Amino acid sequence: MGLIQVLMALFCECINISLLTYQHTTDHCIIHFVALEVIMDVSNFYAEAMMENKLKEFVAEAPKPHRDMIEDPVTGEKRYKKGSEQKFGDRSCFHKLARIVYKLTRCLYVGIVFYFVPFSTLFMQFGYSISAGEKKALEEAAAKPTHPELLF
Amino acid sequence: MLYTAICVQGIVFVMLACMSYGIYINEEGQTYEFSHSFTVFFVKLPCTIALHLLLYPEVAVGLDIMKFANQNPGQFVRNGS
Repeated sequence: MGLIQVLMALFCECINISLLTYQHTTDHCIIHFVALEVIMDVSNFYAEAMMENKLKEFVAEAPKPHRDMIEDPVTGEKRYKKGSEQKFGDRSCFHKLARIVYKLTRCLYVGIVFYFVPFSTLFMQFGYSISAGEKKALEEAAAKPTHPELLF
Repeated sequence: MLYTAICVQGIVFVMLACMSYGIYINEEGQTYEFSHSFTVFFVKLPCTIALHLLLYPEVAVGLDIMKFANQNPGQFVRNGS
């Protein structure tokens, strides 16, 4: 479910950017922004409508992983065992895959999406305008006869 | 609970897919031209950043759930991993 939630958020962000890139009115920008916000809140509306559900309380409080206490080999102090200290080979096949997917998703989000995606609208609209200009020039070139002497 | 959650996410996905299909077929007849209006520009950027900030907690909770499932496999697989 966590992966689905992350993918939905990324999909929504892509749609938002592609919608905002070629808007020409402020009204449309705000309407699309609110529409996407409401769509993403549909799952929250449903969750809020559920009453006395134990899993709801669990998810709402952002679950923290349970970690074993271990003794630090260097300092000798008691501390929580890190996820990276759990041997990869000890995991089941499914959890090996889940770990790889989690790491890749987190790398993608923390490294690229979080910092660069909000500003990609600025760059993309220039890209669209250039490609639209090229398309127009190609259409004009196609409309013109290639051999003007054939007209006479 | 799991199937209900998947169902709700499926509905959200269908709505988003419909929006992306609308973009693909150019439902509103938008022209791919650079907007020369600064007012549009000054609305676009905050809208993008605002939606990004709205979606960030969703992603953070999703990543936390993924991490929880990774760190506690015994709670999801019979007899542990």
